[in-house]
Amino acid sequence: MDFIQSLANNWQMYVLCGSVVAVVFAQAVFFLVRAYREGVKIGMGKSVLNKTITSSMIFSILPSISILVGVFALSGSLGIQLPWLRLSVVGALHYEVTAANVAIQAVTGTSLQLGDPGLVITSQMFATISLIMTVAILGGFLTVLLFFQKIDKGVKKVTTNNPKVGNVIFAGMFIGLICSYVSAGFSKLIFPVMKDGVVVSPASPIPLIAMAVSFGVAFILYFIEKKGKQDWLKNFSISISMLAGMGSALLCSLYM
Amino acid sequence: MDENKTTVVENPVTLDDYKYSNISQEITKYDKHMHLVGKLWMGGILILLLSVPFIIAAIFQTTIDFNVFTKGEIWVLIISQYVGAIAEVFIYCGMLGKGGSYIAFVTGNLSNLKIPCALNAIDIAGTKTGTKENEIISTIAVASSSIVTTIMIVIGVAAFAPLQPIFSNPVYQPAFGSVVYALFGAMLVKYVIEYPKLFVLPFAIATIIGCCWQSVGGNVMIMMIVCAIISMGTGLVLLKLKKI
Repeated sequence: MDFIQSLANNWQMYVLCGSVVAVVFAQAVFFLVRAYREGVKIGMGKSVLNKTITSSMIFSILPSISILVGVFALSGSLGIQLPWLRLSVVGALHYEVTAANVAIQAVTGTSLQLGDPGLVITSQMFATISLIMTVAILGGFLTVLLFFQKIDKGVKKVTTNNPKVGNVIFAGMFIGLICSYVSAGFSKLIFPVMKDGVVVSPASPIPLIAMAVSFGVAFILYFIEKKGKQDWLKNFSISISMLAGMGSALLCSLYM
Repeated sequence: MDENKTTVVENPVTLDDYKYSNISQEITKYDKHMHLVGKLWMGGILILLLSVPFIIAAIFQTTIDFNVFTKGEIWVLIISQYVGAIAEVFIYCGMLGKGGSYIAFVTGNLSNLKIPCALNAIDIAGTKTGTKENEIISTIAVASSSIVTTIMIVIGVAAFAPLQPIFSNPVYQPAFGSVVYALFGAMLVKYVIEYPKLFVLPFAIATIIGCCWQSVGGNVMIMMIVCAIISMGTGLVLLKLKKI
């Protein structure tokens, strides 16, 4: 049993990660209660506040399933506890996967990524990867902690006057992130991963196939949602597309 | 100005007719304390988060390899993710308000959950951005969302944790190793349709470099910065030329 497989039975990891998640849960409850009481105090109707709670909770169920899928997807390479913590606290799947991949490449000195055959994670590598992933995700957290009070005043002016600039910058960054994986996919298609002259991961079309299948399914669902006026699909489409992409990767790996 | 004075509405408005604000926007104790309370919570959680890797090292009686922080790609990762995350603060904090921001930037998953959830709640309640009611609604929405997500993930982890050795079986690794490609393939659709002019050039360059130059094309961090600069640059130029 390798180190990652052994994590499944490690109760200390569950207690450690569970403790941090519990504190974050307590923060959410604290703010909910405070905001609710303030809302009542200033004269907002309880029906409005209760409706906000119920609609937000219902709205969050399906996207939460996507996040849970991400936890299990990462658990294959990193165990279940660290992805659970990372995707519950200051996390988003695309950031965490990117950080994990860069961390793996840095500690192994190769271009191996999550799920690559030949990737073996030791306890020291795991601890180092967890620190890299933690530090890398704290940008927004630290900005809010240290500067939010000042930002809050100034940002309203900028985004009110120039909303399109903010949208373009954010879209540009997201497109940059997605295209980086397009590049990595083509690189994996053509070149094997080598270390010290030995092939540690052969060239493979599987990542690109997963991306293409997922894109195709999402594209179809997008048009069904818009043309068929099926708004309920909005919450499902990313999860369904992602699962379709991962399923195609599994099928290809079994038969190729 | 009496900082503790608030307007009291004797008959609270119902959901159906709540489309206006007649509530005093005067600063209350809640407003003044929100930043202090938010920072205290975040400070405590920061200490916990930074302790986790060291506790992991202690659990497995190993050490963290700090030499890895001398590698350039780690700093490229940190800087690029920080730039993205800081941009998110500027873009989202106006919508989220104080309370909503302090929760959302702790729990994460902003663009795929918290922001849409807050916007949905604000739309239902009919509050205006920048008002006190909007602050209350967005805080309640983000907090409620965080509670549900946390509970669902705990239930999922508890129910499926015994199956975790199956997930780490090498047979399933190609599927799990493709998760990010599958995720971005799905998310790509929105950007191809809504921002086609920002997408074409970085996509073409990413494809060419990926096919020809493994050491650069296979490096996610370098390509992310290159493609983001091209995409943002294209967008800002087109914005200036009023083409978008």
